[in-house]
Amino acid sequence: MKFNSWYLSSFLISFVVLIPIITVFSSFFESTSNYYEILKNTFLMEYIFNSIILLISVLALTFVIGTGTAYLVSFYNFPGSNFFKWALILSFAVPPYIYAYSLTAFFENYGTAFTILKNLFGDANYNKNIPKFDGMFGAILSISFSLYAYVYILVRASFLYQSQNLIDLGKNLGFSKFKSFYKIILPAARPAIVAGLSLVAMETLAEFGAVDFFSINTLTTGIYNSWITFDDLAFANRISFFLLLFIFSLFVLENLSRRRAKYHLNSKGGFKQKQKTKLFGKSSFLAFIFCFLIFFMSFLFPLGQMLYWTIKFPENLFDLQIIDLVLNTLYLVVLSSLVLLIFSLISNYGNRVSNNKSLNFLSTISISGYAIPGVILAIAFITFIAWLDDSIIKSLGFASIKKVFIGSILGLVLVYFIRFYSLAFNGIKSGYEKINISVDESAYLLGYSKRKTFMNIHIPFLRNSLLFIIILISLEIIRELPITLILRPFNFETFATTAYISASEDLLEAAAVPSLFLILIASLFIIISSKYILKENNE
Amino acid sequence: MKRGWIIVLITSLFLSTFAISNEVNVFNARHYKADAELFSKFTNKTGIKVNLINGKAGALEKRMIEEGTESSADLYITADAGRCGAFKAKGMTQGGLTSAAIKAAVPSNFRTSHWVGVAKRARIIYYAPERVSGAELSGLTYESLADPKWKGRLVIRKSSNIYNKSLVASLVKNNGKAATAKWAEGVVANMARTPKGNDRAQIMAVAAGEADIAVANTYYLALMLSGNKGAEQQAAAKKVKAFFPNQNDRGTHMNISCAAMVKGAPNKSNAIALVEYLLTPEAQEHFTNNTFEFPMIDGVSPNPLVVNNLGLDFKQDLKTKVSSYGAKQTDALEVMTAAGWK
Amino acid sequence: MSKNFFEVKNVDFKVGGKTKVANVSFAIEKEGDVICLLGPSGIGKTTILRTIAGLEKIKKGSIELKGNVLSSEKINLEPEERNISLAFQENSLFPHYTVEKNILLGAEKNKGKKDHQVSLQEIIELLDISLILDKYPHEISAGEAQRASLARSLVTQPDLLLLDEPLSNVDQSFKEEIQEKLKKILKSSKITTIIVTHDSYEAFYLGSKCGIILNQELKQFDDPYNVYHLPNSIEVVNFLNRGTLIHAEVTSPKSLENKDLGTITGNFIKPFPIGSKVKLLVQPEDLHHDDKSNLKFEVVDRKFRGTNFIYTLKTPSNTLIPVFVHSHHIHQHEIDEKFGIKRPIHIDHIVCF
Repeated sequence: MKFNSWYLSSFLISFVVLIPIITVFSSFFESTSNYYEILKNTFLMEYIFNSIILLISVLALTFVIGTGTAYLVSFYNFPGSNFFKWALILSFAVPPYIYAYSLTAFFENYGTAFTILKNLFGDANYNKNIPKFDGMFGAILSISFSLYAYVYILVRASFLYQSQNLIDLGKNLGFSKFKSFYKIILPAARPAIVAGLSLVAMETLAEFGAVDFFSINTLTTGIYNSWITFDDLAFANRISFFLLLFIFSLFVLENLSRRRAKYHLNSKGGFKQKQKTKLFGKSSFLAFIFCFLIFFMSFLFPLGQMLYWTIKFPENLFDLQIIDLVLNTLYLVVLSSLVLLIFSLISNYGNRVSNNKSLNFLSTISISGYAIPGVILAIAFITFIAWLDDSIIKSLGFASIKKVFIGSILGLVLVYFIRFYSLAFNGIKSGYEKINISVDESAYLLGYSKRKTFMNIHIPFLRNSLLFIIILISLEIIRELPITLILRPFNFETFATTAYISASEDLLEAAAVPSLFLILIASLFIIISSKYILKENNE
Repeated sequence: MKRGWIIVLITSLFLSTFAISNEVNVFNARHYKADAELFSKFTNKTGIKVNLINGKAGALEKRMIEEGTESSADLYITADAGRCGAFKAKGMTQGGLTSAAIKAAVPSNFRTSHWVGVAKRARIIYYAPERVSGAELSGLTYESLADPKWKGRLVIRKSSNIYNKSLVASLVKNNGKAATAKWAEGVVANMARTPKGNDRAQIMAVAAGEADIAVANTYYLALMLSGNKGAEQQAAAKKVKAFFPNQNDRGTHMNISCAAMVKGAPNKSNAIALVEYLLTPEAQEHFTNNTFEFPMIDGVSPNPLVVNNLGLDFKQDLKTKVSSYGAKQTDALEVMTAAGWK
Repeated sequence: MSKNFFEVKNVDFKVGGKTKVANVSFAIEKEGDVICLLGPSGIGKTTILRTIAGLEKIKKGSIELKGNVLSSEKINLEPEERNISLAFQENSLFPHYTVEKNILLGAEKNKGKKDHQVSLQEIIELLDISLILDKYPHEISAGEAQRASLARSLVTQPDLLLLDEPLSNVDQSFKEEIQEKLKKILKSSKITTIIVTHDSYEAFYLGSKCGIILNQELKQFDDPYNVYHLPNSIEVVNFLNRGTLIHAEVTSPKSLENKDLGTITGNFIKPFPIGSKVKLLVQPEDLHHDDKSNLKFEVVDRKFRGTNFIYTLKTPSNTLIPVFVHSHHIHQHEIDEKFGIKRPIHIDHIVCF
């Protein structure tokens, strides 16, 4: 019976996570069409076209930035290379929508760039000479500079485990540095590159804030608009079909390459610590400039712009209930991390002890919540609760449950749970994979019950993984926008929603203060976790 | 000890669902700081707590629709008449905003029994006096924006923008769908650039010389002139002048910020009290001085920045009922999209 | 009738529904006995241990310890309810505890039990792990990890100790020493033990009884001498690889005739009718060297084993025969030289198939 209760609970958890995903599909099969066919086809083509342009450009840019910086800091020593190694992940602290605010603020007519030029060279109309980073181009830059760190982290880790032999082989064959890079080093890191890029792709397709800010119609904003603004589920269905097609192929790709990447990393035999090449003169300067530019563009620039505005319009600082916002953010972070950790642990352990194929399959699908845009997840959740309440709960004569779930912390945490379950589940799973199953069995033989094995053996061993997962979840929740925006209770704001709301009323200056705090808090979390993200030995 | 923590965890999950009695729940798609200040003034005055949820109009509406009769929403406040009209058409509102105070304060074309305008804005033309002559401007109407003389000189936002949808809806209402479709093609042909940016960006494009005329709402120029956006934008705003179109016929296109009474509102009388408060001179002055909108009621003057730079004495379009903006919204979007208006 | 201390009766050992070893029966008569299970890798030895420990269930037969049924079709005691300890072949130390803490966790199990035969300190010393007590499992070698988990299993004072290839990762040079110490500990602590190994010398040395598992069966369960010298099947002979089967014809109740060796006398373990063609087991110890003998064969290989040489001889009919010679024998024979076999040939126990 012990086996069954673990099995049951992990089954239930996986199922709860799957509910909104099922709802997205099933509710799309109802058809209420009320706007015109010609328009729909025009829009559909535009959505697909924009999504593809955005996706390809972001992938190209993040590939160049991510692998380029990873290559430089893993193979060479140059001034600042040790600093850049971790500074480059700080870009994670700047969500694409805040980057978008910064781009606009700096480059718009009479924006910060104009002010700088005016102060340097005196009055003149510089507007024509200032490049405009808005629309599609702005969205591409915002997303790329915020997400390249996925590629950077994974590729760097893969470079790190590339054996010196590989590089020696290149030298032996008389390859130039450049030839070694694209003939040996890059192909060997391919699984990591693919994994990083598929994460970037999923996030890009799901991106809402920046894309919405620049009014780019992509598949995600298209679903949002046709579902929310026009109540046209049939059309939303068609768009989501295309979106999920994209996402599903990425999901499969990512899973496959992750598996291969693991295989790749495990080849520990004959591992020889790499010697970093020291760069001198021009090449050292170029390497420094490249890394500095990326660091500057991805982190210092948005931070500086937000800081500049905060100082220029200090009244916004005093208008903001900073303590409330910090408390709200902490409250969400603590609650969600706890719930996510507890349930991911239970379902992981359930999978481990029951070792059941169908359960494994279920949990693999249930982690796909991460691939579904938050805005769609939130609405699907509301739709599901409304359906459940109207067609089941009430007909059974119970009181309505809507208020319990919609516009409540419970509902918010539940949808965070669905969205970030894969993060927690996979994190714990990879920790678990390092514990031999015979360790559990030894524990049983030492007289430990399953519960005691879980509490006394697994939890302490997973301590570091758990800490890292908490930080990752916190980072995501601090930056999360659409779910919080749609599902939060009355009088409840976070830094992200405050920034978004000000920005949506064309009050970017007021958005600067919460954005600045968001960046600072997220940076703090990143700095704390950097030693896990950038771990140098494979323990 | 452990059990205690579990109880704390569970209660904190449910915490937000416990309600307080004397309150009014506002779903607010207008996110001005000024609004929040007004609400707290209202609470100080009446003791009624205003619970606020800010968000995008569409998402807020969806949430109220799904919550249905259980929705805690009392008032839905949004910055476009088209939205209120469409929300009413979905059967999500109810009558009740018919008190004497409301009727006395708001002209009849700016209200129904389901929703009431609380502040006004006009969608007008901005021009660069250096490059646009008085002769060119004379008698300018929304309709004449399609005139080829503006080729390459006009900037306006995207067709997906709700202010544009309402403006074009009013044109459909007045001129018919076919004529408006033709008009839209002319406007697209005149555009100086592919539509992008918000209203303020259109005004700044004229100031920067990217275009000669722009279509934008009234309060944006005042906002820039106020210096709240910095000295550069203040200086830029001075390079631009406002022009009220259609003065010789029906008047300038007006839009409102509206408050709608949500169906099944649990605190209906408090909601009415809040709407009445928003229509008091005190509240109206607060609007005009912070958001630079036009007041809804007589006896309150717009902010001096608006009066001095935009002019006060213009003919408002009081003929076209703002409720038609919602009704003609789909037609408006269709003609714009067909014309290739991005 | 005295009951066995531990007994396996007609059990099919299965993993995931697939039978690994079928219809197994064997017993450990007294408490404190050590037996070994021997067989090639992957044959199911580990499955047997896991099943005894309660980690796998059975559908047929029964497993009893001290007269209580642990496993049967109906009964299945949870692993933590059996006082059985299993030391895994792979590293199963708790990764987040030091070696010392790991061992102490084992000691906690039967804290109440008074009769600690061997102290913790003794075990640590005997297994030579005092220097790694402060280290974490990932910081030590595979051999050290194996000794540490052996220590952890020993200190639990189980009714039955199961060791799965306990010394497979221990360095060859160190192995014999550890084997001796292990034997000493097991003897002095009186822990009943089942050791699984694929090393026949280890099995013969440590076990008072040995079971040979081949082709899904327990082929033979007997004391080491009998397993070695009196194998009960051709499979056992081939597995132990310590002898050659040559063709012979039974000529009388006490003799056989081989084409190359001539007449061989001795006592048949199993009688065969006169005239039957049989395969005779010839082990290196069965034949003796005699330079003067005229029965000479060509040397094709010579293995130096320290205490002895084993010469491999080729007969005219191309059969290879091993012969044991003490290493202090006055002279050595090079490959290709002739090598004499003492006649008459007499083998005490004649094993034929």
